[in-house]
Amino acid sequence: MSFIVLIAAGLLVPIFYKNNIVIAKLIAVIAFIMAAYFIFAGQSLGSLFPYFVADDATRLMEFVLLVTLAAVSLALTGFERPLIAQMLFLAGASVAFLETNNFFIYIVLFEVIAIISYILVANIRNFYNAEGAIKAFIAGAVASGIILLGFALFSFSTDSFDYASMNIAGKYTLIAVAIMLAGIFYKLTVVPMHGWAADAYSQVNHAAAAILSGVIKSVVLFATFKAFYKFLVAYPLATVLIFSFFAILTMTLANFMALWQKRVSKILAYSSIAHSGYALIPFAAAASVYSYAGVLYYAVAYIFMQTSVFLILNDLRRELGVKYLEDIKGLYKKAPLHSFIFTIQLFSLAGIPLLAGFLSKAVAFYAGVDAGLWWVVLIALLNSALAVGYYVWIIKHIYFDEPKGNEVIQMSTGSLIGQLILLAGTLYFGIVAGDIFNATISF
Amino acid sequence: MVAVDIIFAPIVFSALVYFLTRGAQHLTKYIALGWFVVLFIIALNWYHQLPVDGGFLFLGNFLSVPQFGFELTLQIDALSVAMLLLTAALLILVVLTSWNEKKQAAYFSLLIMFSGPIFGVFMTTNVLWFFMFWELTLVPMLFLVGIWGAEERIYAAIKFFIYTHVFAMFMFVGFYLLYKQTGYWDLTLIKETALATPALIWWLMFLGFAAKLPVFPFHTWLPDAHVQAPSSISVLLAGVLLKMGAYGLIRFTVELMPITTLEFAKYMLIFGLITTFFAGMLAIYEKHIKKMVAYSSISHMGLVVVAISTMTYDGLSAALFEMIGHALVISPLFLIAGWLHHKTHTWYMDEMGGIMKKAPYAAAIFILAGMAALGLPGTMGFVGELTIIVSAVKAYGWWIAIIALAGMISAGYIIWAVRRAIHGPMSPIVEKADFSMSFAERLALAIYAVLIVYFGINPQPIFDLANQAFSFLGGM
Amino acid sequence: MNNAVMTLLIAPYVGAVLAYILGKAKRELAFWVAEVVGFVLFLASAVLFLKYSDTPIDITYTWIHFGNLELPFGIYIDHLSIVMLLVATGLGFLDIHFAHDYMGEDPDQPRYYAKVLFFIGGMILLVITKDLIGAFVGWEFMGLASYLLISFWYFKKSAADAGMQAFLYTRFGDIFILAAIALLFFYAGTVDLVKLNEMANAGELDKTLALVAALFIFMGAIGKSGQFPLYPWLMNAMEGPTTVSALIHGATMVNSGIYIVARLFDFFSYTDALYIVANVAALSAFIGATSALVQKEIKKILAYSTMSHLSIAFVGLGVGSLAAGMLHLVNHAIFKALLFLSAGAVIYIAHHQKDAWKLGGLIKTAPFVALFMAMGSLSLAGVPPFSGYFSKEMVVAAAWEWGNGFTKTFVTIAALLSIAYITRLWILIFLGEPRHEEVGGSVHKPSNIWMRLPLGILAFLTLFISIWQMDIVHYIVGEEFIEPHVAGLGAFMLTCMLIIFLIVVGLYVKGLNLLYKIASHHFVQTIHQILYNGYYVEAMITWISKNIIVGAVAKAARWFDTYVIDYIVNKTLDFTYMVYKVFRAGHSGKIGTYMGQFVLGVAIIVIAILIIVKGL
Repeated sequence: MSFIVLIAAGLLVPIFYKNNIVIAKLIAVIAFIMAAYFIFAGQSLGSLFPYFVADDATRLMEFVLLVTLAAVSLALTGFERPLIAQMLFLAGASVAFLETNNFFIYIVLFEVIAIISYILVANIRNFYNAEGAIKAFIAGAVASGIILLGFALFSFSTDSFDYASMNIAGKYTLIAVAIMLAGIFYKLTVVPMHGWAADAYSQVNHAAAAILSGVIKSVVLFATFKAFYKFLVAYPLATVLIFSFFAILTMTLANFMALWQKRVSKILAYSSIAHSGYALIPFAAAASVYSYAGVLYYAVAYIFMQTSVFLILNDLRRELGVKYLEDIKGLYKKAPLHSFIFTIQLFSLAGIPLLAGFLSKAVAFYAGVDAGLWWVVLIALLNSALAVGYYVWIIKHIYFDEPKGNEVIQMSTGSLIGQLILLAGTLYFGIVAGDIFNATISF
Repeated sequence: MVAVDIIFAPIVFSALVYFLTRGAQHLTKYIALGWFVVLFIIALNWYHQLPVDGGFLFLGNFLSVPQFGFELTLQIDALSVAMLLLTAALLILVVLTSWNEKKQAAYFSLLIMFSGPIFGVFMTTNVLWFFMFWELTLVPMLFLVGIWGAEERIYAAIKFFIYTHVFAMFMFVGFYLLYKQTGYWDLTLIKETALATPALIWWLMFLGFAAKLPVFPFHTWLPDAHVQAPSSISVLLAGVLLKMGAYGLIRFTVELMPITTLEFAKYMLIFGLITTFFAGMLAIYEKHIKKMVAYSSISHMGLVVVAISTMTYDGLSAALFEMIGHALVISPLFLIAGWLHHKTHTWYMDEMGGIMKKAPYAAAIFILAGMAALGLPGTMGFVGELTIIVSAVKAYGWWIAIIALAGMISAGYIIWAVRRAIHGPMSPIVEKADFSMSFAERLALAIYAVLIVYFGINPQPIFDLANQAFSFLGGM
Repeated sequence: MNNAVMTLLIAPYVGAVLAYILGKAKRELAFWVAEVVGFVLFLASAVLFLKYSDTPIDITYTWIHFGNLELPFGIYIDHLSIVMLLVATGLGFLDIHFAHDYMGEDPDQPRYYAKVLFFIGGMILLVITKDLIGAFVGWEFMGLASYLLISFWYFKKSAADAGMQAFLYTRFGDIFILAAIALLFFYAGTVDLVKLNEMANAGELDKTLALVAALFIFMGAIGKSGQFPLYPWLMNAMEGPTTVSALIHGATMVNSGIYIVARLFDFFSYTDALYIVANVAALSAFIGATSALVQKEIKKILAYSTMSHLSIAFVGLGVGSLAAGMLHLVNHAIFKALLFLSAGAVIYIAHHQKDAWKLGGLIKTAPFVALFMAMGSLSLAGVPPFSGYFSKEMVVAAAWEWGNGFTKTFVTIAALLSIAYITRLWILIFLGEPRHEEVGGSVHKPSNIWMRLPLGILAFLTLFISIWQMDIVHYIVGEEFIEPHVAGLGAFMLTCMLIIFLIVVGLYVKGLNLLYKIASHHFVQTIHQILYNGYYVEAMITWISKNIIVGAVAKAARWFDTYVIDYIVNKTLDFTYMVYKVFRAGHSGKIGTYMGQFVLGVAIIVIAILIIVKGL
């Protein structure tokens, strides 16, 4: 049901674009809420189509996704109105993507989401937007090609696309999985497939970047873990080595890159890349019973905080023209509420406790320790400590420096409600870990 | 329920207090003061409820996650209560000494927020929650140092934040391994289980505590942070945050893995001794008054490490006393050092001189606290030093008596500081400066002085707590 | 009796606080509080003396109970303590009394009297405590009080320096006591002074340990009593008010070192530490006596004489005669208080002129002071029938009888030289013509009650206490006391003293020109310089602490901290920038580069999988 509601709303919304953006937003929010309700009520796509199974964890992920998107649509302004319909479609696709238990459908929906993301970034207003969009598009196209290549190989060597009964043995299967993984790493912005993301995240419209880097990444992360779980467990040595290697490479490179950036959006882009690195640790530790919980927790936490920071940056850019670190000096005087929420979310990203960013890391990394990879976890933790450097550097500009101008901006109501929802998510999952574990207990 | 509320309420409500009192800035400090007094009374109440046999007073389990063995277990023993009382008392005094701080709403809101996690650190026995509170204390401190600090405040604040954060990560891996190898997050349960790689865990955890204490060579964040922080915050840093390191060392090494600690006690001892003497020598060379105090603080924490490393009943009791004594002794020194800078606009003792004439009250308290820092009888410093040296000789033999030299080194820097800043001919800077002091500050300094002398003459109340806290070591 | 003990324990501190607070309200009150408290203390001591029965007062109490250990605090008052109490409180009271005029013009009187009472309190605590810990407490109290009193005029650079020096020098000795406490507490199982003596007598202690502990305690005594090499502070301490000097040198501080050795006499003799005590003391006596010969300032001369005489008392102990040492301590306390207070009176009269060479002819203006000072001088010189004679004779005799050659020689020289420097001092102050215009003109008139009375009492005492010399000895050490006896020593000493006296009188009264001539000789100049600077011990210690401890060790530590540890910490920032630059090279912004990296990534994964899962 939720799928249908979302798609229907997505088709309905563009009608109101011209006349009344508020109605469009309202419809979208209602659609998200309804969809969330259906999911809460236990209805899944599985009741309509085969190949879809929703376990508790998936439902939780979907729920979080829908709440986040509702918050995002509340926070949008007229300028970003095309995003509303795109988000509804994205939500529909994501719900299916998360629930599927069929590799074929996984690949198809992966491509669907990729296409939606191209459309998302296509809201081009200036040269920078265009550059980012083109980069995202070309890199995405190449990745799609690679994934399809891998999938083609895979389809030759397997008897079934069902997650449970897939064929996982055989040289071709392995090569196929490897090639597909490479394509998916592109979407997850794993180094060295990250080049486009650093530019695209920082250059496209920040609201689009919020969805790209926050929502889509989390969804892909979670769905991919489910899809590849069987392979990860079957080849522990390869899993550990490859994922540890890429995890360390990604987070280290991204953190060092982020440290010396001057554009705020670029810092956040690299921080997003670094978080992909952290998120790979539960993949490496797939053998651990905590890996599923780790991935889920990471995806859930990440969706809230990353979306929130990009949305705030969007506001700031629109109202104050914030681009560089210079521009946010003394921001606490100009925009106290923005600064406050921004700071909390940044702390969450940095992994400061009582915020989702910490507990998610704690659980995800514990999966690594549980699998015996404590040295990888140590490197990851040191990396996250290094990352604190640039988060604090942003906060330093906001609170410790004096502002240049003296204009003061208010937060719009929609934006405030949206941000509060995201903040509530960050706080809730920062203190209460029970839901995540209850959801993954059956796995 | 009170237990969990006093941790989370300040964290949540501090933001509310800030936004509510932004219009009436002078109100915030009364709220803060009232809250801290309440905290003190609650802690005192727990003190009276403590079980006599030295065990834990159970306060409740919250936020349970059975699959992960993860819950907010709040239970306190005498050691925790000692730390809680100290923390609450210092917070009250800090409100008094920052009575006329700028941007009061934000300042006192942050202080209120700080009171939550710092209580949490001392109250929970769940390792993961301990770590969470441990890390959370850094956040208000970052802002308090970064916004209200002196000239180099930003460098100091960020260095402090990142430095301690980095070393906390090592500790965190140690905690992970604890859970991995025992299946419990709770200290009291972990204690009963065997560990596969105790040495690795021990060193990882030690690194985290060592940077907090701080132990040579992980101490360089401290002089910067303490110097640049506003004096009242230096008090909290030295009085409470450093104690977290010592508390952790006791809880996680001595209590949790006594056999391993016994094995590595010699390294701890070496670290402690080097810290004591190295920081002492730095303090002697220092011309910057607050840095001198900061190094003196490090030097005293070195003594605490030496006392902890003895791993004996009496050694740990002495360590706890010295922790409390250090907090009360170093605070007025920081306060007066910062106050002098505030009034004279110089940090350097050579440029001061003759303060005694213009500010006899502050000078007298500075001398008194200085005397306590160098271990003069009749003050807490002496009791701490004496009990530490006695217990150390008992544990290590005659040669450890060389730590008496620390008393000489501290005499060197304190007396020289007094000679340069307090005594001597009056310098032109002092001549010009206006040394008025608010009543709240005077009151706070007087309370410090009275406490230093009272517990210096009658230290038994603190030792009763300490004896209760470490009675499990009685046989060793 | 317990009331008296409690009074002694508490009254000084209560008095100090009261004196300060009341003095702040009305300056006069500070003095009166101090006067009353001082008198009460003396009364309490007197009560103890009079009511003393044969058994010592012995109160034990556990001060700190921590872990498995208990730190004791006890009171133990026997004959030795009572004698010390009487000296400390009696002289202390007179000193306070004298200060009424001497400090009368000072605006900081409340502070002064508070510190003085605190000082006396420290001394009382030291002499009535039973344990080394309590002794250390009193010991350090005095260290603090002397520090604060010496730098009482803190705004004078020299006074502030002197205070710092006094504290650091004595503290250096004190930390050895702290170490000794720890050692004894663990290895002997007790820090009880009485018990230690008993254990020593019973031979229960390990000899090496006891020797180390005894030497550590003696280090403390060296610091407090101004023995070689920690004596320079004693001379610089003269920067404080003269009444303070009198207090330090007569009533309290410097006696504490001797007291502690006397208190632990059996312990010390058991370990052969006394041998070292005797030798160090003899050397100190010699240094003090010779240096006193050439000083210019009145108070410095007296200070060196204090050092010398304390050493003589130490020699008495060191060679094994507790009686001789203690007797000299008591006598010295009285005549040295007298001398200092007289010097104070002289300085008061002469408008704070302290240079003896600038005074002169004061006998006309202050005949009484001259008389009292002469009596003190004679006692110090050891001329019968003044009390100094008896004790000094006894020490020298003991040294001749039991001491080694070094001790014997040096202590005799020191004893003989005392007449030389004290005569010189007296002549320079009182005889001849005023050598400075200020002194020649108007002078302060010393008042009868406040200045002459205490001087008179002390002068009277130093003369008449000679009668009870043997009683004092018996009171302290008991009846079975072996008096050292060396035939002909008295006659020899007196003859030598007479000769020296005549030479000094000749030189300073009639032969000043001859003196100048001698003094201008190059060789004499060198010797003069060495003696005048106290054998350059102060210069050496200053050099070591300045250049070695601060200039080398601390500087090296600082260097290491700044350029190694913190350098590494701060360089991590540059390191991240270097890494950043390396990484940045891969981020050209060109989509082609990114595609290349993409392909590289794919290759890595595929190859890695093939290698790892080889054979499939």
